[in-house]
Amino acid sequence: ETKLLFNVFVPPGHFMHEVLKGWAQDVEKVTESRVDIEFAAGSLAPPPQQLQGVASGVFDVAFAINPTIKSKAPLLEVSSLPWLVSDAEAASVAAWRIYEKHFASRNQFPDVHLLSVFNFSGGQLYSTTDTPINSLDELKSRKMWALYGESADLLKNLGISPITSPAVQVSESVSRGVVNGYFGLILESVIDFKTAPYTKSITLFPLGVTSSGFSMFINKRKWGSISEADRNAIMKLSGEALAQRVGKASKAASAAALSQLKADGIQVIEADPQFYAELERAATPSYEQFERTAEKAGLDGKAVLADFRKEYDALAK
Amino acid sequence: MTAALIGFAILIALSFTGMPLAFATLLTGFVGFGLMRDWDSAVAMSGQQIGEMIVNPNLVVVPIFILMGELIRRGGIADELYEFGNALVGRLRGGLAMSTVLACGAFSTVCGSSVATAATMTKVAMPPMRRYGYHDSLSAGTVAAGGTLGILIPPSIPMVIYCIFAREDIGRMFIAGIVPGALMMTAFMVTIALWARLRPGVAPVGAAMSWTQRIAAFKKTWAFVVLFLVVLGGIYLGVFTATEAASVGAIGAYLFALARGSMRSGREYLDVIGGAVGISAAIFAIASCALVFSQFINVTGMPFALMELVNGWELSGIQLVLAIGALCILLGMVFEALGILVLIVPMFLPTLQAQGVDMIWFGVVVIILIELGLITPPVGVNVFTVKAARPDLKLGDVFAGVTPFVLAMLVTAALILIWPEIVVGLPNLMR
Amino acid sequence: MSPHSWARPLYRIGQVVGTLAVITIALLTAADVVLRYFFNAAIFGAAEVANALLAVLVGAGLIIVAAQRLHICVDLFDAPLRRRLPKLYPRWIFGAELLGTAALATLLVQHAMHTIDFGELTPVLEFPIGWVFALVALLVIMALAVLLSGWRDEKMHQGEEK
Ligand code: NA
Ligand code: NA
Repeated sequence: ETKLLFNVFVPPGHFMHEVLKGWAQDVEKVTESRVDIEFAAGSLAPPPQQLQGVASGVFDVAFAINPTIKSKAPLLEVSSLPWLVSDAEAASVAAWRIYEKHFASRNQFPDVHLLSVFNFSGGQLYSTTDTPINSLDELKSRKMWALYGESADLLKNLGISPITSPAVQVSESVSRGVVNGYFGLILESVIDFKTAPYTKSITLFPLGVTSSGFSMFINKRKWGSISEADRNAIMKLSGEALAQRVGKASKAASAAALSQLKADGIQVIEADPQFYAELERAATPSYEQFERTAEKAGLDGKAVLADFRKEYDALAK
Repeated sequence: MTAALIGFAILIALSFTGMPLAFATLLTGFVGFGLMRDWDSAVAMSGQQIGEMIVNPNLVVVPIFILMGELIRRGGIADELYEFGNALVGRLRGGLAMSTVLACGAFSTVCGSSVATAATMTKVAMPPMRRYGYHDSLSAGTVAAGGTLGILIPPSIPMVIYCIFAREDIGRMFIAGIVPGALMMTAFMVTIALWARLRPGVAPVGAAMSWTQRIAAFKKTWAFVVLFLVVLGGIYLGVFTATEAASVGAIGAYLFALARGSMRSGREYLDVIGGAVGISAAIFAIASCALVFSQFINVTGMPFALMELVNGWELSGIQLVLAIGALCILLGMVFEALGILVLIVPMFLPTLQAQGVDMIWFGVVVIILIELGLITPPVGVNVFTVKAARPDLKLGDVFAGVTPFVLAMLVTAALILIWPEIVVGLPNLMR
Repeated sequence: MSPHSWARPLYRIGQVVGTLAVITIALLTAADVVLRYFFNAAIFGAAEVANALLAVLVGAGLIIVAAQRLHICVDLFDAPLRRRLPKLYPRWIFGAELLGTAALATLLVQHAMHTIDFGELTPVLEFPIGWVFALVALLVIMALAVLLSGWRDEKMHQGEEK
């Protein structure tokens, strides 16, 4: 019997707890309890150190937000590029397929075994004043907070210098009124990270400014201690199956959050096409950056992206 | 569950041997985690937790607030606050003691530590009370109890540490302390008034002041008013984050200290600022080692077991809070502020969160019970602080003097338990 | 610490580094506020620099803690233990501080090595944070040395009131 300690860094009440508990129960079932998964009662490591925690054996299984493992796996950035996805389920499945097809052979993780990759929904734009943000001029007139990574980079490309931090710290800036707009959070984070009471309007984009991408892995030694038959059974539940499971849950959470935010009296508007086009143009450097990263890894970035778009479009229909 | 309780017992036993609290916590947490998992992972986990704590963005405020408090003590602002309090209520029976409470409360709005508040106010308020024939019991009890306001009225170092563990917003927590702080000040003043009425011998009537004198006394407090507006006003109105308010406040406090003839030699800089750095490091040592201990608690599964227990007994959130409160009072007899936070918060936090208890409200309840611990025997840090600043006082007199204030604190805590709006009302208004 | 101790320069380093760190944090943060309010231009990554300086401040502060014996203790049984075990008790406290500080130093060295090895970067400035931990580890080793330099004093004063 192999006992696994699973660390979940998101706060209690987050939908990921339910999803992963379901996955863990299924794993125990298919392995006839030869693999037993326990969850830590609280997160044993801060969000940026999930991979390190698994590699060093503090815990056995965890998932990490991709920007925090950028130095190990820069290619995973693909599914988080600006204005690329909005549907979490399609994005997650596409991300896993692209990973298997293009990245897996490049063996990015020496100490861990990758179980799955997945994405949350697309990030949106929020105003904390009575005026919605729906033009470039309005955006430029604001003091902004932006999710670090693609969202912050995009604003910088537009000549705006945002306050930027991981999502959990957004409330510090928003609740104090240090900023009067924020950018890149998904709808459910607005509720989870307690910025909803300060938010007056939401500008929804056809595709999100970014979609947080995640990777889930298991300690390699522990993985090796599981029989091959059980490993295969676990991988059947992980990979694309788990990606879809998480994506579906994120999609449901976003939809629920949107109706709750609307019910709270927050105005929801569609992005103006001209505004959106201008924002899309500002993303060019991010795409060029990804192509360079791909090239370094011996891949054709444009082809990878085209592949990704094809998978996503087929799935998102 | 058993493993966690054994760890808890060992931690208490070790700390009773006089071992620094930080290291007792680290040792228990490290060994416990190592036994539950393995030694390599205990090393990796401990290093990670300590490393995370010392670069935590939310903790940058701690050394800055401590520095600000030290600079303010040099600037003589406490004397002016006391004079103004005296101008307001000095003519009442027990008026000087009431002025002390007012001054303690005001000083607490710019100082984040109870010990610093008590030490400062002892020097300022004890001599005049003695001169006017106040009984030592009343005057020392007032200063020791009044000093505890330092951690309830924002800013407050224990509140910052609590927010790190509870993942709550520090600004919100600070604002939540204001009304309970004012309530407790009122409770203290009522206590003094009753005491002076029942035993007129302990507190003579003071001289009345004219309105011109009062206005003059108020004008002298401008330095305090400026700092107060910057720090609390800045946080409340949303101009600053807590860290920014602390930084601007510390620079302001430095300018006042400078203007009043302090901070003139290089040596003074190293002593005052270096001293604040030392105090901060001692706090970080405890807080980061506590994080290691809390990870041990997390792998024991104790929070899950506790949740089942609570569900099995069908305890409501409030019953659980009452039970934890009783435990806090017991621990408060021996442990000081951070010790209680270290022991209580990691054990009960996940359960309380699962029960849907408002963690800001719970935090304020815990802070009040910690304040209680600061003045209860056998170990009452504030009582010792007053005694250290005035060595001729009898320890028994001070402990006797704080007893009525202990009752006042319990009444305040009860009011907050009955009407949570006292705590959460103001932060909810901020939206 | 005794005025003639060989570790005095280390103590001074702790004071100076700690003082500079806290002053820089306050000024940097205040400057960030001013720039943001009056010029709508935040200092990019100011908060992250402050975080790194906080770590340095704690490391330097631990030197001061070692020199002035500032660790927070429960001293409930301090007086009776001192009376009953005049030799053993002060040595036990000193040993516990020594062991604890050594443990902190070891854990920080380990963590610094892991983090450097791992190539962990700070989110905004993408600075390798491991080097900050390495600097803190060095400061804590200095704190250990300062504590060790007090060993002889401790033996001389054993059994006396502090
Ligand atoms: Na305070
Ligand atoms: Na006590």
